Amino acid sequence: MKRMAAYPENAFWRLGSLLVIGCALLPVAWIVSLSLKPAADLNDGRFLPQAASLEHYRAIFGDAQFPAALWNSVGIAAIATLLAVLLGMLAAYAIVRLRFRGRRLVLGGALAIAMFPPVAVIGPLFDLWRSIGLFDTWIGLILPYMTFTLPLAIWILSAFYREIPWELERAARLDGATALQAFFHIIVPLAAPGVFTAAILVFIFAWNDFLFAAALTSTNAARTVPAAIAFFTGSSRFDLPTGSIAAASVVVTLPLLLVLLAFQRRIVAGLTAGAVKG
Amino acid sequence: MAAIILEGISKRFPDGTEALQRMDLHIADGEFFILVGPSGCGKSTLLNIIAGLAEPTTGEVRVDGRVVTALDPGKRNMAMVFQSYAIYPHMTVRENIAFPLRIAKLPAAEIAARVQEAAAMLELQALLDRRPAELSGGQRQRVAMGRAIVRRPAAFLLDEPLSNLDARLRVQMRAELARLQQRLVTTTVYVTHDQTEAMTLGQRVAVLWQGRIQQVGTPRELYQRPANLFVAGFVGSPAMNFLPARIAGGRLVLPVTEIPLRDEWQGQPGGEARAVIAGIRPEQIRKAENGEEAGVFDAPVEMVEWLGADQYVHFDLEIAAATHLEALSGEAELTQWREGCVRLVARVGAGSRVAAGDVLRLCIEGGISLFDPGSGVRIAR
Repeated sequence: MKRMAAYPENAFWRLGSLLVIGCALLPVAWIVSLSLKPAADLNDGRFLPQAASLEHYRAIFGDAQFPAALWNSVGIAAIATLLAVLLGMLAAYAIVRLRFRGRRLVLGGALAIAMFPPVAVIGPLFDLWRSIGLFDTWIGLILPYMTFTLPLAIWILSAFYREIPWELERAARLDGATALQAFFHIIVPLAAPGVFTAAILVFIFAWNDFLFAAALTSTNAARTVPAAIAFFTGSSRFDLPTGSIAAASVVVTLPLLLVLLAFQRRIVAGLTAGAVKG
Repeated sequence: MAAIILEGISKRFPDGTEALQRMDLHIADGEFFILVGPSGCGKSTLLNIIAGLAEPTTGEVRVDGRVVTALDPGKRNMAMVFQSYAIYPHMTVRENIAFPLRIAKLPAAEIAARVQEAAAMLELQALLDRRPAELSGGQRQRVAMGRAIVRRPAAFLLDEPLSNLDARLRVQMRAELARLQQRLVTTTVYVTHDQTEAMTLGQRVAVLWQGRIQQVGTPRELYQRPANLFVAGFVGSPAMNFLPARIAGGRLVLPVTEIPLRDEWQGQPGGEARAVIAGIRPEQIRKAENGEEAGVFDAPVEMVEWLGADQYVHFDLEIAAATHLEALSGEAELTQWREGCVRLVARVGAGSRVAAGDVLRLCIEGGISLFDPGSGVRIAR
């Protein structure tokens, strides 16, 4: 009886999942298809390319702009992630474990920053960066990325720290470890899933950001891929660089996809951590 | 190897609660010392102060004459076993036991040798490569012990180490702990709320209640000569019976019977006719022999507990005018007094057949403890 009743319900959920995945992946498939079509076929309206060619890929890598942008993207996102997670680890630890004045204020402030619309700071930031010389530099992007992702990192990590029994740390202290040793030997390994989750989310934010990248850079010195794609030009002024944009989009999506697939278990564990005690 | 001396220790938490009120304690080198008391009595706080995990508000902690009050817990060379065991879940048993040595940066060969030695002592060799999640409660307990002994610390601090185990394992681990301590002869401070553990393990026991030390002594002293009503009621199972009584004419007048006082009770300050509280152990109430007179009374049996080797008989006595005693008993967390009625327990031979509803002829023996009804303090001698 129960099995029979469960069957249609199961089918419903499966069908639903398929529908959602289909909807989400259709544009991706379309972009992959576009990136493979020869330039002449771009407007043929077919979903599947008649003939596959790698000419757009060759074109974007042949241009000086794209490899530079890719390097900027990797470097900036990696450094921003590293710093945000490192600072987040320490800040969250302090917030969870220490009783100090203004603890709530720090947490509330972090939340407020996360709520703040980034577009509201773009103008002032542009002027500020220009006058202090951070415009079009890596640091000029790393700083705002850290600012907007640190709250996220702090919140995720503090949820993880709260799950770690306090006594483990006290045991480590009695075992002769200094506070810092206890933190790195005991607390950090136990919070590793949280660290991964925070790192990936921060990385995605920095990697995908267009707003800051477009506004705060002007040359290949610091322009990241999302911004660089917007500056792609066609072969003539009447030609849209559709193929190149599609190819570049595929290239920037791939690393993210690989990272997500590799760590998806940990991310799921991370996103639901703290939801259920035990 | 270390003698631990606490002097004038008190602890007041920021919210104003007085966890410990000025206390002195001398724990001898190599002693198995127990801190026992009901939850919230301050025993864990005291242990944390010894360990360095908490700082006392006043007073100092000395280990072998050296003041360590402000010393970092890691530098005190003490090992602690926590109630939750606190073994590191991301490390194998081997890594767990080796952790203090790794932190101390000992050479790898020595670490391996000492881990082996500790594992052998605790019969953990077969489990060295397992992770804590795969271990049973008793095994985790042993890993925590292993991590403590591998350092060869000056003192072991054990915070309710057995309270998460089931009853059978607890008895077994209790014996193992006692054996281990005898073998290592390391000063051990053991915190528990279980008076049975305290009595069986400790060379000396300190009974704590409401942030004060009530009495320090050997288990025998605590049992036979409790310093006050609280200790009397706390130590021993089933608990001591308390009855309001009077000393008059060289006799102890109980509500139900009278017994002659021993000589040592004669000539007490306060002279004749003074009110007292009589503390009677269950084994001091037995079935009366035929023809016995002193201390004999009849009691209707309320409930019988037959344990095979022992048999406990519970009965209620109605006692008028015991209200102020009720108040005192409430203060001392004694449960036997309720609405002018006292519940008593007697140990009668397991051989005799007793059923609820029977009326038993019982006899109170000598050796009774007497307490002052006002302060609850034991009346000397």
